[in-house]
Amino acid sequence: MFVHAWAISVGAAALGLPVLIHWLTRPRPMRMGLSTIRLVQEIVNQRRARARIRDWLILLLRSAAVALLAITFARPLFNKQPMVATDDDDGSAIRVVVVDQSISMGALSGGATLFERARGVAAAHLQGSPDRRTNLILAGARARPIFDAPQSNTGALREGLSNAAVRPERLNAVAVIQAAGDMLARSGEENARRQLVIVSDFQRSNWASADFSAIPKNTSIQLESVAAAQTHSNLAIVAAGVSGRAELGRPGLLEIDIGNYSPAPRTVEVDITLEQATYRVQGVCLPGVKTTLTREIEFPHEGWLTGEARLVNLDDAISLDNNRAVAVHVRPARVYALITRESADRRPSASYYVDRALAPIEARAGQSAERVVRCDAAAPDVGTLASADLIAIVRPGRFTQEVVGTLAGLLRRGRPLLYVASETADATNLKSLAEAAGTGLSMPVEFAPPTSNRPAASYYLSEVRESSRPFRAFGDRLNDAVRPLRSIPGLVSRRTENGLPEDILATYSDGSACIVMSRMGDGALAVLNIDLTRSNLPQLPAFVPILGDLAADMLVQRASRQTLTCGESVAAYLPVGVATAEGVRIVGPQGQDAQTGAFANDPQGVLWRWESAGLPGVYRVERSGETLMAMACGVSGDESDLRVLDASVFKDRLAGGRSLGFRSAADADDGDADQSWWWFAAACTACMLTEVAVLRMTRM
Amino acid sequence: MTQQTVSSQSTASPPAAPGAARRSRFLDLKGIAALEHLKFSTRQRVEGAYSGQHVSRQLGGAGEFADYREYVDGEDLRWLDWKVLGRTGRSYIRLFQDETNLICTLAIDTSGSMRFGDFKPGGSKLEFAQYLGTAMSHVIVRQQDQVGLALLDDGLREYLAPGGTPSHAAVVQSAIESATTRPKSDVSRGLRDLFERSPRRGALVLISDFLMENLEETFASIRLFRHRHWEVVALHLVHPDEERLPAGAAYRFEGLEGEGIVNCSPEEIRAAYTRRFAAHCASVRKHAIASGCDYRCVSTEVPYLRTLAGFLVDRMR
Repeated sequence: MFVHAWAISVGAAALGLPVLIHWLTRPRPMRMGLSTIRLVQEIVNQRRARARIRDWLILLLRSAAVALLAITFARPLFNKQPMVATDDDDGSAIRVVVVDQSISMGALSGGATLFERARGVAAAHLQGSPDRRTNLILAGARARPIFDAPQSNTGALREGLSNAAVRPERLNAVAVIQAAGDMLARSGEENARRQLVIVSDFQRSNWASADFSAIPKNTSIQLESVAAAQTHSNLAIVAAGVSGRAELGRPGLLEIDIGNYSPAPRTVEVDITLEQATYRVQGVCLPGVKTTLTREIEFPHEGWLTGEARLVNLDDAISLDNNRAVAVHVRPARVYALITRESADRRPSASYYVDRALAPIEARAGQSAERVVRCDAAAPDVGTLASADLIAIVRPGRFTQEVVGTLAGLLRRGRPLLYVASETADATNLKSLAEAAGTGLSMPVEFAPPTSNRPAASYYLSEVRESSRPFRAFGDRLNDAVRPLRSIPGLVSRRTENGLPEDILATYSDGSACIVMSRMGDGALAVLNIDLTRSNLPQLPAFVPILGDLAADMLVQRASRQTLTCGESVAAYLPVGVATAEGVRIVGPQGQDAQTGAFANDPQGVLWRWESAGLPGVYRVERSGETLMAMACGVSGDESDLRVLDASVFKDRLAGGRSLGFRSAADADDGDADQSWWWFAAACTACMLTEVAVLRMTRM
Repeated sequence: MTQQTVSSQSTASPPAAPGAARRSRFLDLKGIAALEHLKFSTRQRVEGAYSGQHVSRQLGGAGEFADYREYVDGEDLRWLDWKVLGRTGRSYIRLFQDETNLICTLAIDTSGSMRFGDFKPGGSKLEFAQYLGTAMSHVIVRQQDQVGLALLDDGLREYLAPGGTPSHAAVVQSAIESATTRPKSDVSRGLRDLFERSPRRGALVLISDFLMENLEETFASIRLFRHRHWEVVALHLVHPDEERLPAGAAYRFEGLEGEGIVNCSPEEIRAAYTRRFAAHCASVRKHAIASGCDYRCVSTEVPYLRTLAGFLVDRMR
């Protein structure tokens, strides 16, 4: 393939030029009688053999120089023949054109977005024979084909292409390739010519895991890259929110994660707006990594605070990732529900110890503090349980199945449970609770009542996980903190088959588990196997920190940020207090949006399902004007890194043995991707110089 | 057409034909008059028919004392050296060198190659040889020596026995004037024929360009003369355009003796040709000297009278 094919014709004609010139300009000899002709004959005969070789060599070099000059002007493009040509007029072929419309395609290059370039390239591939069946897939978080199967109605395809635009989504390359492969496999006969054209910037973060094995074997694959020759610099806010649990009366830590996808460190400024307050953070972001900028703030009130984090004074490749919605649930001071059959007046008692450890500080005037609400173990109030931040269970006696079910449901919905076990009934309760929670809860040990022959002695802690909460806060003084502990454990334990050893945080000297932590989604079940009335733990200084940190760890897990990603599917349970979807509506960033999915009642609660999250912003779940829940929706951080995947990775690793061609628009723009013409020009010069050298050397 | 002139053993010149006194156009008496004082001398003893000015090979009773010889009974007592007898008591005969005349044969090569240079008036080697030969014959006869002529091409085309009369000289000069070149060349055969026709010793002046196929054969024929104690002078004629090829991009050279045609560019082969021609001349000189000849390389660019003058002066030393 040549850039200027006409030069070949000119060159072919020019090849005859040296011969013609040689024939026309050969000298006409003068006739002359010579007496010494014998001498001349001897010399000429001697030179004839050498001259013949020289003359042929000169002719060859001249012809080669002319040919190389013609090829130089023709500018051959090696390996640039596309696997699927735009001018392929084969009416029997089946072609699927995939166009990437993810966020990165909105990057500007040469005054136009990459998507505009892609539109032009895709339009060229939609042309051709009117008999050819073609389909267009717009690719983002999911594949969006114009038709269900390839058709010959290319007019509709072109219209669909002209109406398409960049979406604030990441590209799911795996899903798109799968969709294209299924479409090609279903269409046409087995031996029909199949063609797949993908127009994208081939971002590394999207395409590194691509797998073309879903494409039928005999498909010609053409990858058309519209990425710029040089990777653009980009900065992005990849996450924004409050670290840990936001509580009224306690300072909160704003955390903004900045991704610097540029080759140099950048000083950035971020404005975070929450309600009427605006906070600014700034810092230096190192290249190629994510940097977290933080700022401590005071929450003005309880409830949901929404706003936005925005990079200030920045002009980079993609502007869509310079903002990110923020939604913070400012909770009141922690409320612990304490399920126990013990009376609040009974002191000392295990429940009393737990009560004091969870809420050690009395609330002062004008301030809030943790508080403990006691619930009757026989019939705990579900509302109290649902509204509590953590449910502590101390000497409840034997739970009914109803209570077990309630607790299991709360656990599944992310409510943490702290069970202080010491009695035989506790072993039964824990077993029932594990069964009710289902396979999502995998406890590392199984608790059982102590055997009758168990020595009634005090045990100490023989093993603790120093690197995990609640023990890591003690640092070097851990040994001093826990060594004095003596206790008579309530239950014995044995390891379960599928349990993780790291879930056992502390072990008694007889091998029984002291503290175990089992996670289940956002919820957690921590079991403290200790009879607090027959242990010196409540008297030790480490008691309150251990219990408090254990509770805090469980609450942090629950308080993890809930965010939506544009284009991705949504499945989120409404808050525990929302029993039905009646009267509930979703309000998006641009007002009430009808296309925000649907609600469904589920054994675990009310489930909000949305096939594909919409525009970036805050989505509020409201009922009667009250915000039940707010979720921030933002673009995927994967799209902010604009580095592209090299063509060799596709050909060597990802193609899977399929015929795959890769063409880059950047090479055509630069005009110097085909460096081969330099070599032809050099070879032409070399031929001419060699000719001169041969003439000089063979001068006889 | 070979013209053979039969001559007897006598050295009488053939009678001059009536009206044959027309002077040859190659005879420039005015120019030759400048060479009046020069003579063609031989360096060897010659065998002449008459008394002349050349040293004879024969030892006789007149002339310069040459040597003594012991007396043998029956010899002429007139040559007995009585003084030596009186002094030594032994008998010796006195020997004397007789002076005799020169018998010179001019052998002119008339092969095709001698025609080279005829693209200019008076420029061919043959014309130069005709001038030189005519002048030389005049000088020889003027000094009362004898001159003969042999024209060589494919053989001995024409032979005139040596004679010393002015009329004979005119005949020789006439024959030289009418000489033309022939395409074929076999100088060695002509020399052999000449050798057979020349019973008496003398001098042979061979005027040729020595551009023959087999130089060895030619000098082998020359050595026949040398073996019979002839004095041989080889005058090697060289045309200036033979030393260096003509200027020009392309030529079609045609052989003057039927050697064929060669197309070439003189520019390309000039250096090699010059070397080859110089080697040829050196080879001729080497053969000539090895054969005992008096060799001279004569450029036709130099006026023939100057060449002749130089030649005569050298021989008189």
